[in-house]
Amino acid sequence: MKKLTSLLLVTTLILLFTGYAAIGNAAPKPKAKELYGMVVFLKGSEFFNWCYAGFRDAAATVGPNIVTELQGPAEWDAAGEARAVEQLVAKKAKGIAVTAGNADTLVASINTAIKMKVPTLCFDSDSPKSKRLLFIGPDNFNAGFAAGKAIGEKLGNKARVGITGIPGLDAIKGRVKGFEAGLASVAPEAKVVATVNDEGDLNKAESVNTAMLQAHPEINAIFCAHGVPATGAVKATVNVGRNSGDSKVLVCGYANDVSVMEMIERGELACSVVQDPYLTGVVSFWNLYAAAHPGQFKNMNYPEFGDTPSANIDTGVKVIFKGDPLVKVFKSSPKIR
Amino acid sequence: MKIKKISKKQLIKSITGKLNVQHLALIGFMIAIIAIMQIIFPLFLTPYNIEILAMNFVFDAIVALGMTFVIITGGIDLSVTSVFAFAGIIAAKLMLNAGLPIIPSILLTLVLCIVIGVINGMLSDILKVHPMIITMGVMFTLKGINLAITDGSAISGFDETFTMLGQGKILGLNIPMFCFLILVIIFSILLNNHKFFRQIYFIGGSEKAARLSGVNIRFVKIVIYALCAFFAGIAGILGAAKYGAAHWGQGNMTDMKAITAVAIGGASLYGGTGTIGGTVLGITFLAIINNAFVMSGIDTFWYDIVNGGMLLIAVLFSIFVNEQNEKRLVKKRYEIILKKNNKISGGEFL
Repeated sequence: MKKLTSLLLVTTLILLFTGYAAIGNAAPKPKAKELYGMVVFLKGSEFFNWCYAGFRDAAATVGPNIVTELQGPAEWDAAGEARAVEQLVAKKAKGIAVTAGNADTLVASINTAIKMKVPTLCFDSDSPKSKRLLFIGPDNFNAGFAAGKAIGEKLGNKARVGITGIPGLDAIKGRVKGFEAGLASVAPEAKVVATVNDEGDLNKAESVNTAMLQAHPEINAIFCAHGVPATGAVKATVNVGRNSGDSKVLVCGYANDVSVMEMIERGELACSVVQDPYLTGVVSFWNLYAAAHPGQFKNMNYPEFGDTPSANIDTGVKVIFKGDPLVKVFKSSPKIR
Repeated sequence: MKIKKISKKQLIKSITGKLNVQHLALIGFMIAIIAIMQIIFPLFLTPYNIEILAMNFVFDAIVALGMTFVIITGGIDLSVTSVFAFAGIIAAKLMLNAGLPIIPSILLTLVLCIVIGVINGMLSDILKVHPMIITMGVMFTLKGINLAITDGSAISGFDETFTMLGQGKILGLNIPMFCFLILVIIFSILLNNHKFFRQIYFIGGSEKAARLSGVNIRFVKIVIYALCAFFAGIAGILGAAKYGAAHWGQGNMTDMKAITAVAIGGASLYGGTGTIGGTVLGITFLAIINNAFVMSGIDTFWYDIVNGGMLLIAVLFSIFVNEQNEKRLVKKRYEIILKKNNKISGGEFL
């Protein structure tokens, strides 16, 4: 009887042990949470929401352990972005994608992130002096070139262009240079006659563009060198009575907001330079993920990270006019929650 | 400058001031937030996060110190946001374009900032225009100057010695934080013990009474606005050193953050009250809230709502305190009159 009890006890124990082991083997260990952050300026703008939508959707395909966050100031404040980068490093983020509101101001924080072994890359606006892994986004010169070429093709040598932008920003400088080259490539006698500073403010854009059109009545086209001033520039043409007829000023935006798309549909805005912000977000995430998970081949510039391209990735632009199917696409708002 | 010798206990009291209900509530609130955050997010109290938390607000904190003096006098200084950027830009220009060594560049920059403060103080006193209008005008003018002299670009390429001012450490403490603490100690002692600084409470309480008592209001105000600009200048220089670049957009919203910190710290926006300790509490509160939002992943848009809400509560509280004080004053006056009349009429007051 004693032997039978012992045998039963041993058998039960073995069964329990093997059963537990089997359960242990069958249930995969939950993967550790990984945080990936996107840092932007003008947080809340549709453009960066599209970028974040791509970033978030790409992360969701990896698994539920991947968490993403959108951080940064609602203003054009590069120092605020630098602080957000540092805070993400303190949160032990696995990767950070940052768009530089000002290239130089972000150098120190990006370098700190890299030093703390957090893969960090730039998207949309670069900080080339920093140690960021790479830049993902349209080449500013090429983007400006496309806009210049489009206006040159519309107005020919008679094109007299006013540019509205923010002086000093590297991204805008590149776009303006590209614009001038693009314009000259199809209309060598066309000219850029004035440039105004809208300070990235919609109301300011209206007032400075109105003043520019009054001071330079020969202007027949306005190129908005960044995302904010399109509405202000269109209102400026209304203010001086040049929003219709033969004297209508052709306004080219640089945005893909719903309001900009509606203005294109109504014919108020002639065209807009649009990027693929969703793709920028997707590509940014995948590069960060690759950098955070080193494989067989290490990063050529940063051996501590996984492999990413050592050159920048140009995500390209398109100049869209009324009737382009992209107008409808951009009229839908991105889902970021 | 005559300052009486003070003990360690008095020094601590000078910094903390007299803790009132608002301060105690703030401290309790902060402890609760820290405790909750630490339970949910164990990374909250890591040394690195505490350092980030402090460094993210140290520049606003330095500006807020200067703002405390201005607000105690019953004034306001909106130009600090442009002075912040101006200081970084001028220091950068002097070092990189004029080729001046670091120390003379910094000193010259601070002198220029003081001049801006003197202009603020003089104009608001001579023209008898509300300081908000004067300092707003100076803010816009300086913003234009900042843009014009930089062409909108950032200035970078500083000497490593200069960037050390923003990125280096002394005794394990970041240099800007070290500077902030030194300023807190010095100016807490001065505000509590020096006759000149005691006058600013008098001016803030009642400018008319202060004038009738022989206080040189114009001189005091000019010095206070100069001091405020001086603090903004220090913050701007340290900010440029920290970010390794000077840009016209730096110091954005610093004025609002500084005013909010001072108000949350218990200073009345009507003047007459406020302490350095209160301001330090106010700025620490804002820093903790901001960090908690980032750490928890809550949309930072909510941060502005909390920030604004706290400012409103602080203002409403100061209005309430003011009304209570006024009622108490009226009651006191009534009691004095009553006593006098009682004496005259032999005990009966009709």
